[in-house]
Amino acid sequence: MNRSTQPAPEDKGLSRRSLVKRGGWFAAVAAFLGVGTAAAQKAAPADDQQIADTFGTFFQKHYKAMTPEELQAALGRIERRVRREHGVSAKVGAEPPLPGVVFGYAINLSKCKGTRRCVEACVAENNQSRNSQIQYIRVLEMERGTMALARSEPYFDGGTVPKKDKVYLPIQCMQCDDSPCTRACPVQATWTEPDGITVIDYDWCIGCRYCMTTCPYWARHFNWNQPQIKPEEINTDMHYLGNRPRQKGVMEKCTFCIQRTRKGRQPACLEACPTGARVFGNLLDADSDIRYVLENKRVFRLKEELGTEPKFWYYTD
Amino acid sequence: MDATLARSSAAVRRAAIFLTAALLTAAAALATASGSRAADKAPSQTPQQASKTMQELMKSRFANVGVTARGQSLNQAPPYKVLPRKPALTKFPCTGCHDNSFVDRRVRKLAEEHPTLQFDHGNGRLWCYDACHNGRDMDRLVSLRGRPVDYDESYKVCGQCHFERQKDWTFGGHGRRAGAFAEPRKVPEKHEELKVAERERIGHWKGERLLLNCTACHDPHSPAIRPFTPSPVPEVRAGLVRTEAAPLPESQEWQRSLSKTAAEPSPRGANKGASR
Repeated sequence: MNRSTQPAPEDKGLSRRSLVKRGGWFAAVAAFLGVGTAAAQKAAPADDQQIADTFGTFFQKHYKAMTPEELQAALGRIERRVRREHGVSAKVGAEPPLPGVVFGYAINLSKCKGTRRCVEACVAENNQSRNSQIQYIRVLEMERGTMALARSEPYFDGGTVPKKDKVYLPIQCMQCDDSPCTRACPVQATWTEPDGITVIDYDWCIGCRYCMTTCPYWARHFNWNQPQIKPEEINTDMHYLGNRPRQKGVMEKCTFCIQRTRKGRQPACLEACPTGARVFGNLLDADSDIRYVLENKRVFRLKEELGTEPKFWYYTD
Repeated sequence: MDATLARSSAAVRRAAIFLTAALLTAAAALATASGSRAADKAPSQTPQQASKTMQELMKSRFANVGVTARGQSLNQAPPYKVLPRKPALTKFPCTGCHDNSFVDRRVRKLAEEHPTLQFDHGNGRLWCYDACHNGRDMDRLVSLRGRPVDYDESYKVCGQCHFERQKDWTFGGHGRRAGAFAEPRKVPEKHEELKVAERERIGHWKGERLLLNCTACHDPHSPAIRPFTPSPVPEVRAGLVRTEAAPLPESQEWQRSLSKTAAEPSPRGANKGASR
C-alpha cells in the first residue's frame, strides 16, 4: 500500500486516476494474500477448517441479522477458535432473552465492606484478559460522609476492611435504559437487549471507542492488546454476547453475566459477595428480591441527573 | 292394714323425696367444688391453637396493615425454604454433654466447655438461658414465650428481637445468596459445585427461594461480622498512571460559603442568619 502510493515524482506517464486505480488493485491483492498467509502461518499445518473459519468470521453478519443456521455456524467457529488458541473445549451458547424479564441490580452500601470478592469472581467468570488488567467492577473507597467520586481511591490496600471512617461503593455497568454508549456506536455493534442488558457483538465492533467516551460510569473497556488467559483459568460456559474470549481491538463490558442470568442463575459477583450486599432479580416480577428492595428501601442511582436511567440502584439500611 | 300400708307408703315416699333432694344437693355441691378447682388451674392451649388465635386477633386489629410497602405480612412472603442448620453444628446433639437436669445459670468464663466461643451478643445483655437456650431441653432452642424451637428454624428465635432484619431476610433484602458457602473465596464454576443440598434459589434469581439461616453467617454468640482481608489490589491498567486521590478540602462547601457571607455581609442585610 505504502509503496503503491509513493510514485516517483518524475514519472510523468501516469495520470493520477490510473495511479490510484493500480494502487487500489495492488492493495487488494496484497491484502488477500496477507490474510491467507497470516492465517496459514498461525497454525503450523495449514488447516482448511481454520481458513474457512477465518473467511466465515470475516463475512459474518451482525448478530441480530443472522439466521438461526448462521448463528449456529458462528458459534461453532468460536468454539473451534477457543480450542485452537486456548486449548480448551468450550460450550458457546446464544440463549435468547427470557420473555417477561427485565433485569435490575441493587447494592446495599451499608453491607459492602470493600472485600473486592466481586472483582475477583467477575474476572474468573467473564474470561477477562489477565495481562491488560481489565476489570468490570471498581470498588471505590471514600471518606465516610462524602460522595466525592473524583477523590475516591480504587486501589486501596493494606490490612483488613472495612477501614475506619471509610465507605465503599462498587461501580460497574449500570445497564442504562437510555444508554449513551449504544447511541454513540457508529456501526450498531452495541445495543440493549429486551431483558435490559446492554451487549456488544465483538465481531462487529470496529474499536472506535466512542462508547467508552460517552459512558459516564467508566464501564466500557478496550482491548489494547491480544487478551491472555491461562487455559486452566478459562470459564468454558460461554455466551456469544457475554464471556467468550474477546479479540484485540474490541470493546467489552459487564453483561450481568448473561451466560448465567439467562439460565436463571445469579451473577458471579453476587454469589461471591461474602456480606450479601448485592441483590439481583427481575424488575417485572412483583415477588422478586429486587422489587422488595426498590419498594421498601431508600434507593438512589448514581449520576441520575444525567438521565441515562440506570437499572442499577444503591441503598442503605 | 290398708291404713298401715298407706301410712308406710307415704313414709317411703317422703323418705324417697328427702333422699333425692339430699342427693341433688350433694351433687350440686360437688359440682361447685369441682368447678372452683377447675378455676384454680390455668386453662391450657396447644401451640397450634395459640398461633391460630393470635393470627385471628392480629387480623381483627390490623386488617389492612402489613410489614411491607405493599401491605404484605410475613406469611405472605414469596415461598421459601430454609437450609437446615443442624448438619453444620459440629457438637450437636447438645445432650451429648449437657444433662437436661443440671442447669448452671452463672455468668462465668466458659474456657473449658466452649473454648472457641465468644459471648458478647447484645453487649452483655444476654446470657445462655436468658433468651435462646432452655437448660431443661438443650437439644432445642426456646422462644420468649417458652415454646421449643428447632435448631433448623433458629431464625424464628432471632426474629423475635431483630424483626426488621427478619422482614428484609424473608422478602429478599438481607442475607447471602451465595452457593460456595463452605469456601467463601472460591467462586463456583459450575452449578453442581454449589455446596448445598438443595439448589433452588441459592444461586438462582427465580423459582422457590432457599434461604440461609441467620446463624449460617452470624455467630449467634457474637453476631457482628468480622473484618475481611480484601482480595488483591487491582493493577493499574496498562497505559494509565496511578495518582493519589486528591485530599478532601479542610472545610465543606457550605462551611466555606457561610464564612464568606459572614466576612462580607451583603449591604441589604439579607444574610442576617449567616452573620449571626
